[in-house]
Amino acid sequence: MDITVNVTSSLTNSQRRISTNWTVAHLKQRLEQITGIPPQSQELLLYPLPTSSESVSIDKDDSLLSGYELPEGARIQVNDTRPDSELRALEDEGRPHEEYVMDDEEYDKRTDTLRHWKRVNQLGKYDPSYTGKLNKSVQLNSSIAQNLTVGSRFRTVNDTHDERRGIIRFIGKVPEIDQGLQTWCGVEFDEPLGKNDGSIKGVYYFNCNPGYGSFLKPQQIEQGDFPELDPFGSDDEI
Amino acid sequence: MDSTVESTVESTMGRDIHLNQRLSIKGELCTVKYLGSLPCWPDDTAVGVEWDERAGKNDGEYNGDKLFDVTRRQSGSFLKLSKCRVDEKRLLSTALMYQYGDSANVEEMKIGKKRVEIVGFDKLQSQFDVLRVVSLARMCVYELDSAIQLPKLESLDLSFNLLQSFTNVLSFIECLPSIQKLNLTGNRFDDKPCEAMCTVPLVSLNMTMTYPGDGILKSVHRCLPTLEELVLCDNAMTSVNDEIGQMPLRSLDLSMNRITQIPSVSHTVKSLNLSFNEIETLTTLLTVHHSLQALDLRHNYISHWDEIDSITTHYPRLTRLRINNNPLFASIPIEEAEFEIISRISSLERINGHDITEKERENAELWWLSQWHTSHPKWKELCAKYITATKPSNLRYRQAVTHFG
Amino acid sequence: MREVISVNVGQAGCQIGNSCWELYSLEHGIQPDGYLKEGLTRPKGGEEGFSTFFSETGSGKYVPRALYVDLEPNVVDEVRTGKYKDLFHPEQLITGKEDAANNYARGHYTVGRDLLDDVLERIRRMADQCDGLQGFLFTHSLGGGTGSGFGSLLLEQLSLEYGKKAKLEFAVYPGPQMSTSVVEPYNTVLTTHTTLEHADCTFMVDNEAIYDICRRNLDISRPSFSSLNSLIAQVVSSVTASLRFDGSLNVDLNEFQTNLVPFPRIHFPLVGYAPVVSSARAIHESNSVAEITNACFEPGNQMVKCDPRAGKYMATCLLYRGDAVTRDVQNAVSQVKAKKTVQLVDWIPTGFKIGICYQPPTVPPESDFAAVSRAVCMLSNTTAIAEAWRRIDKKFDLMYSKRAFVHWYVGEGMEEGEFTEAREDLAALERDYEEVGFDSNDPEEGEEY
Repeated sequence: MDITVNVTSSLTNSQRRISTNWTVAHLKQRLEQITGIPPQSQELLLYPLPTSSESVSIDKDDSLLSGYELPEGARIQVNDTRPDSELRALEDEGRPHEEYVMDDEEYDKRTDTLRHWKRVNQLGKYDPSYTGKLNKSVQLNSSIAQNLTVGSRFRTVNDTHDERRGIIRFIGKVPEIDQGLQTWCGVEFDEPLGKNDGSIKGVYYFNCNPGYGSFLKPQQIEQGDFPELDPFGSDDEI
Repeated sequence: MDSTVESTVESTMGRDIHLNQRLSIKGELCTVKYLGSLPCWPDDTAVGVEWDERAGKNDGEYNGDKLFDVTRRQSGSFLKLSKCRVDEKRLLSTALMYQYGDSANVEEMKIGKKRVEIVGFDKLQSQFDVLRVVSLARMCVYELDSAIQLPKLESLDLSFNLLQSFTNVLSFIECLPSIQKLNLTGNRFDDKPCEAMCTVPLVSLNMTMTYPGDGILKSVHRCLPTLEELVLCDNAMTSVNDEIGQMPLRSLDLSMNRITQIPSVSHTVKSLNLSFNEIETLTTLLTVHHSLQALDLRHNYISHWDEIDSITTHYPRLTRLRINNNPLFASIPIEEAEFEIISRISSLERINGHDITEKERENAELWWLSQWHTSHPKWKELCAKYITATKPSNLRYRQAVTHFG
Repeated sequence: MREVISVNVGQAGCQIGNSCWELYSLEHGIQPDGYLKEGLTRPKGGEEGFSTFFSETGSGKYVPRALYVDLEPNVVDEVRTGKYKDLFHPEQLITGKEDAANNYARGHYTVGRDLLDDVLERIRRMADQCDGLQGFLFTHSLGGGTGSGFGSLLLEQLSLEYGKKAKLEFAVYPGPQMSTSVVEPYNTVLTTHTTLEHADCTFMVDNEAIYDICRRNLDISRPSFSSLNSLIAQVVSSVTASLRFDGSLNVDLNEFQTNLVPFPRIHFPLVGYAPVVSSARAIHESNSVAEITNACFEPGNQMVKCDPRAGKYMATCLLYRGDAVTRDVQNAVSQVKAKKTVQLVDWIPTGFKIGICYQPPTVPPESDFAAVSRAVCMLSNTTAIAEAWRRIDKKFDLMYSKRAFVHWYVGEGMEEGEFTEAREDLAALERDYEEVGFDSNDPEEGEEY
């Protein structure tokens, strides 16, 4: 008779069809391919029901599985009896190990890569006009940023939204966006028209309520005495 | 406190605002609960509103004086009339033209430097005579007019609009010969009973968050004889009145209310949803309901196994049960809880969203027998079921019985 | 006619195949025995679309253009004896006798080779019945022996034999927490390397992501494989809906590649789907176009565990099903644009496309899914999915640095060099995603993060 069981080990968890006509030795052979534990080092514990807290040991290699109470849905836990098993090392992903890293030179040599394609087609940074534009933009924005002050009010210019207003909360580099290339302005809008809470990829540049914060280029900002636009501002709704 | 209450004022946009009126302000629905002056705004009229969904500023009081009542905490606000940006309300035909008419065609849209390409949507525009499904949710529709004929319309979604007259709804659907499904979620109706009997084949009505009064519920019962499916979700109901209990429905959804007693419903009902209520006991039900097949009791206050046993008594044909998230299961593993339930309710085919296979039932019942519920009425029945069987998987049961003597 | 042949390989592939064909049958009005549902004179979906996936026999019976292949008989036996046994011709169900034992090399080189000719012959016969074969739709897992080894072998062979015909995959990617077998990372890396140049577009699903969605959104206490597979089927169905019904976008299998893949190696779009709701909630929450559109950008609705907010979009397709009008769709996209960071890469030719199929999603009777009038599936080629490759590469290195289990593969005639070669290829793939990088926008333009 074929039944479905759950096979668990320190590294794996899967559903498998097994036959009760198999010998324990044969089951162990199969389990090696799943768990990586060689038959002679396997300790098999049978938990007949999902609710079972007590287990039965499957240990007689010659006997048939039908000799055990092995209902549909049972769990078989496979333990590794070797004290210095190679699997121990795999259990801990944080453990230092050799990681394959492809260095830039090697990647650069390959011809089937995205970089190669970009270079051949003059895309992105390989666009001849890119560097010029980038330098201009970096300069422009850093010079605008010099006239901005944290804590000042501002409004957005050339905004795809309607004009938005708020307070400048941060001015400087944000490596999480562009590896520190541009100068950015962290802003807190008056209304929840932003994209974050002052953080980018988990790094906080300032704190505000979620959805009120954004990072903009200084060229998108006009500093000045621009009061709140919100019709539900504190004065008009009580 | 010096405040003159007015019943109607004119807003800046030249439209009347009156008490109990439903408004949409910047997309948020609310009910006007107060019109008058407040000392803090000497040159303006104060509009007191209760918001449907968004948070307000108070419970309808100003400087300690209660000016109106709210049903949900912190859902009241006072607004300056002159600053009130009331969204323009629409007739149904206007909303229909707006969404499905020719003028609704694509304007260019960009993300960054790239144009968003929208293709294939033109096939339905302006084809009112073939439209089968129409959704006009949150469109500020305040009145249903018949200026546009919709002969093929089967499903109409009017959720979160400004409809207030149920009579208007009923007379409108009379003009929709093919209508089957109507969604009125989030509208609030005046509690005026209606008389007209509907002759269209409406089978499904959704009245979620409409907080219907007795008059409306009576009208639903009286005027919609073809109804098979009724949804009364999230209506702050504490009980089910007789009219609803008697309706010859197939499916009744009462989820997210404050119902404490399991209600008695018509014998035609096959599916009953009572999830997210405050039901503690099922034993109060006196009748046996032979046709109920599906019952949803998730997130209630059931805390005794006796209640589970009374499910079998009251609903002998129940095949599908959802009952997770009740206090009864708080301290035991969900697998064990489901084994208990499967064993106690023999008719079940599905529990908490997954099928019970034959093998799973056998496992559950054998496990349950091993728990020695000897005084339980089910015990003998299950003993009888397994004592004659000879399968090796019954080994444990037989061991158990031998052991027990 | 533009026919598509579905090929389901290995345990996961065949089981997902089952759920998909059940759903397709339901959507087109075909009964489990292959005949039309009572009251229908023609299958639903229009001749053109319908015949892409089903063929019609003289007797009024409809047969899926599908093949089930497994190296061992167990899973396919369930099809042979199950509810849908009469839907398929016995020729469409191919099994061997010996399984691949979770070993890519057995599926690809030894056990798999023996079955290959038979499978190719059956595919040839099916292809001969087509007027204008568009291509193939593969369903398999990347971690199992048959799915990874035999699946990639078959893709290679089809590439040789059918040249430029489109080859799309739905692939089960290993969950981040638990492996189904200890060598899953090897199998995944090896099969990805082999198929990288043969598959045109690969949609991945990871079981852990699906499991979480079932638990959270459907309130299922212990989601079973059948629950997971029926969710996967809904997703696959909405991806293929425009091929099967009168659609507007991706009416041709090739168009997935045209719309989504700017560069051949970067062909793994992330799939997001909404709404996944159980009855009570669906009715309570209004599933407006804006709400479902917003939801399919959320991390919790992605079929692979990764954070789309951290990525850059090279191409995006939003495929709506059911009732959705232009104005709502435009408003929905504007809202997403305003609230989320959706960065499209300027220098990449693919863009942002939106299509609709007016056939709403179908829900099997007594299913946990609520019947909804509309749904949306987002296919986005985003750099966020590189997270999945980084994860599996790391696990690969952990084992390979000790040469653990490599002898299992060498014992089946594989050369160790293939491991190194495959791993290098995946490293280059990770680099490819990085290369999309921070030069993605015109420096003169405004940006918002």
